[in-house]
Amino acid sequence: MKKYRKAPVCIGFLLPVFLIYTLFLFIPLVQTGYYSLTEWNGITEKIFVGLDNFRDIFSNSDYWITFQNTIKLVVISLLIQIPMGLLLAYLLYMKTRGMKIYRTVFFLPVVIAPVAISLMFSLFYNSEIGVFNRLLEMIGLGAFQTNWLSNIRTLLYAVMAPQVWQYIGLYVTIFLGALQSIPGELVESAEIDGASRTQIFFHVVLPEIVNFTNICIVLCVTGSLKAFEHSWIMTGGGPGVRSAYLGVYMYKTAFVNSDFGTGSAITMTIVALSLVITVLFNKLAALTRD
Amino acid sequence: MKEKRWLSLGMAAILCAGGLAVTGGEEVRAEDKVSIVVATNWGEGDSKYDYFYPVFQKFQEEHADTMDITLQTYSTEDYKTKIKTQTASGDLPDVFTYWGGGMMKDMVDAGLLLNVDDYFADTDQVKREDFDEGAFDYYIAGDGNAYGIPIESTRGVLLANKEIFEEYGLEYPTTYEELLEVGKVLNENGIIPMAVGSNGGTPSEFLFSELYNQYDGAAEEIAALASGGAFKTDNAVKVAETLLDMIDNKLFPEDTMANGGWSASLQLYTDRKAAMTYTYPWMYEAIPDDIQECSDIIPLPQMPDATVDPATIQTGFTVYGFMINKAAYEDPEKHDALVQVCDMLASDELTESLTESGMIPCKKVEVNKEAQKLIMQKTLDYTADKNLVQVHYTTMPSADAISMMDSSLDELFIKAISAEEFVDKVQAVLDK
Amino acid sequence: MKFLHKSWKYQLFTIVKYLFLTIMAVISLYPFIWVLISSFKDNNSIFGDPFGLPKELLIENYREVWEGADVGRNFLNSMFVCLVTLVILIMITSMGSYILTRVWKNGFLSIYFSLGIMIPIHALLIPSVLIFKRMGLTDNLFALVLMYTATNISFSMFIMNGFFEGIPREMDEAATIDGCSRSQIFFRIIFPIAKPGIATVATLAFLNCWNDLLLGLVLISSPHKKTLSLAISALKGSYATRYGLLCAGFVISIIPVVIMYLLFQKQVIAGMTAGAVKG
Repeated sequence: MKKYRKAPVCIGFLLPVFLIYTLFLFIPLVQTGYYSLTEWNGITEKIFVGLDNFRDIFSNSDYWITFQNTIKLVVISLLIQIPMGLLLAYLLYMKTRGMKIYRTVFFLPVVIAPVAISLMFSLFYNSEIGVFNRLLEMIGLGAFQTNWLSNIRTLLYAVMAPQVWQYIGLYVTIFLGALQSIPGELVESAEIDGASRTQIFFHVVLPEIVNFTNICIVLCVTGSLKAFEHSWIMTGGGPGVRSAYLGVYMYKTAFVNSDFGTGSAITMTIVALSLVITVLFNKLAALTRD
Repeated sequence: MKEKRWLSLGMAAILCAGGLAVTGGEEVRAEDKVSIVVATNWGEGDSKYDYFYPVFQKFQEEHADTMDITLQTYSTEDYKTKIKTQTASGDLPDVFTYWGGGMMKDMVDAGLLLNVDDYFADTDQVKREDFDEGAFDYYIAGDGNAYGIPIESTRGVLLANKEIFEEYGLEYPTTYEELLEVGKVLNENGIIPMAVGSNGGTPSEFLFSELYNQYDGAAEEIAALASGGAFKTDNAVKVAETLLDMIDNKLFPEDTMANGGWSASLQLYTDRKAAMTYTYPWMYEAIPDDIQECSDIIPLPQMPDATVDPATIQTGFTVYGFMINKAAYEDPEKHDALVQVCDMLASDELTESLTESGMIPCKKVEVNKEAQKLIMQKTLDYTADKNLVQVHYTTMPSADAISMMDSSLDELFIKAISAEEFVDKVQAVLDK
Repeated sequence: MKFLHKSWKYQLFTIVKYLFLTIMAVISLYPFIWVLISSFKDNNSIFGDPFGLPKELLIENYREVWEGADVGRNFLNSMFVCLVTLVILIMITSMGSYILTRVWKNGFLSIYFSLGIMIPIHALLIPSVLIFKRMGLTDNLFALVLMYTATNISFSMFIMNGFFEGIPREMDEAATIDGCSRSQIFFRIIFPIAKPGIATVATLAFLNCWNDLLLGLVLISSPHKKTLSLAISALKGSYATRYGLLCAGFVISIIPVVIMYLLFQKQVIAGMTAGAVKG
């Protein structure tokens, strides 16, 4: 009886979000799924080709290069953005003076357009006029000087760096919000019990914000899987596809080469990859919780 | 609490103002007005916008009682995406600037574009003969008809800084050996011989074509690309190998990616860090007066085994023009208005105005040389007796072949692939 | 002795902490300063001397951006679209999230709603244009509102879920005993407590909408309906972009975002203290 009393509220509350989401996000996704099974240049009639597009991309070495690049970006973002975000947030949380100023400053890079950041970094890396090499020389690491964007070994990481760095502030904000929602008494009583700062962090604070860590990890993974702008602006994904991610490769295929069928197929693989990673991650999170 | 109230008041005000802005902008359309959509890739930040907009505005005002013209302008990159989505949704603008060759192929095949002879037949203001005949080549499709009216033409130039050459007692190189010699001296003095990078294929792909044209049969090979010819030729491999040799001899900046693209390449030259650069007139706006003063336009050095004298040729091609939406043109309501809009876009008045931005017109109009920048005057003098030759960019039959050439050339420049591999990669796309 | 030792270590830690934070702050502040300085330069000095101060202040850039790009109108358009989006987004996602976390846990719907976070925006461009054309909303700012709302639903629900799950169950139960209906519980009790979550969502969603270029590009055509980021993007040239001009545009567009952020940060703290008092 009670169960049915809930129904009108449930429907009333869920309907708006469900409708908008389904109409403007899910249906377009289904359409993209359909395009991925066709040959379409964006102008003439679509020709149904079944799974040919997928066969094409899976046998294309460029696809696998961008695939690897994307995975590298996901891993590097996870290893840098999350710990850095958490560390900075925790330092700010520990009764730091000027916390508000720091918090705002850390967030600033997030709001700056990637075009500007990318331009700045291109100038930064430039071996003729840039300061990066000069800086290395100044601190005695002159041996590491190189043409960052023209060296096969460094160029992908040089393109990743601005993006990974730019969004750390996002995680600082989320973690700081999470830390501040921990009841103060919890930490205080641990302090009274004589726990050290590291102990407090790992045994009191971390378990409290585990939910938010999950949020950050998912945001970080999906954000990296969709990465586009920095690579597109700095190098156009090149040379070749050496600094392209799946998102860049998809855009280039669909909008530059007008092959919307194959472009949509690449999109579907991005979605599938995200799904797999998210499901794996949730399984893992559930395992560690038990 | 007070603050909160202030805040929500402020937001409400912004919302209302925004709402007004949205609804207030909606002009009531008179029944008898024809609405026409004109689209260009001359965004507000483009040097042509300032020369185009006044002419357009004047036209718009003069025809305010019969036409309702919407102008859509975007920067080039955005513009391409916009036109592609508009094509997909069937909302192609009535008249729009666009590129020919491989870029327009799909549109022509789908019958979206008007054969421009139909327009020339309907107007008494403009004739096809008013344009340089070669200028239409870029817009001629497989069926032999032209589907665009060319606006801008261009010329590839090798700029050399006279003062730097004098300072080190050097002569302008005319052969490849001399170029290597000059390069050696300049490098010893910390000067980059030639500021050419490769990022997204600029400006490297044009240098590639310019050098290519020095070889026997090159002109025919480039022209043949449009109709199914091969990219993979002995000449292509030879040029790619020479480029690699030039890189090994440090003729270009070390970091070709960071110093690639139009602006960054030119910058090394205008900062006097490089003695020469290969560029195009659309960059002249960025050359300071003192550099214009000491710049000479010189022929490219003759490449090894080349048979064509580089002092007799120069790359020159149509960059883009405008196209007419066939369906709109055949709509009896829009037809007459469209002809008038096209007359304006192809008018001497607009063409002359655009030349002031440093554009070389495809239409035969009197260019006021005195009003041009010094460097442009030098270009016009240099180009007067040259045989214009094509570039791969305009004759490549498909957009993906162009983008493969660009991105692979970037790879060649950082020595990630060999000359053979570069040529093979492009050919593979053509063979698909 | 032990006390002294601890305090020495504590002081060292504090010094290292502030040093580290300050270095990070400088690194974070630098790009903004760079954009600001570059906005007063021309290309020759941006490329020739990228990290120096401008030789002469080109205030010209700002004037040109303001006049050339009709920034006033574009600014209002952006504000309108973003704020309406925020209001709708926060209402519908918090309602949906409340049901899915506290009333009717449904695994299928949760996964369904999380799908959206994985879709690259480029994949939506052509389908969305077609959908709005069918709805008769071509070249309409409300199309943009709907699209922005839809693309932000997934991550918003994701964050909201985290916050709603953190609110003790007893609160609902106590309220039910007091005779509150479900919707009363939501609007009077849960919604106010979730303020920090809402502020986080609002900040991030505002940022997404404000900086979006692609959806605006394909859904809007009339010049007077363009959003700010569209207008700024039009400042790029075909071959050579005047980066000083572009940077001036960026500065103009960054300021409202920073103000928004500061305001919402205040809300976070206000919301938190309110929650603590009640809890």
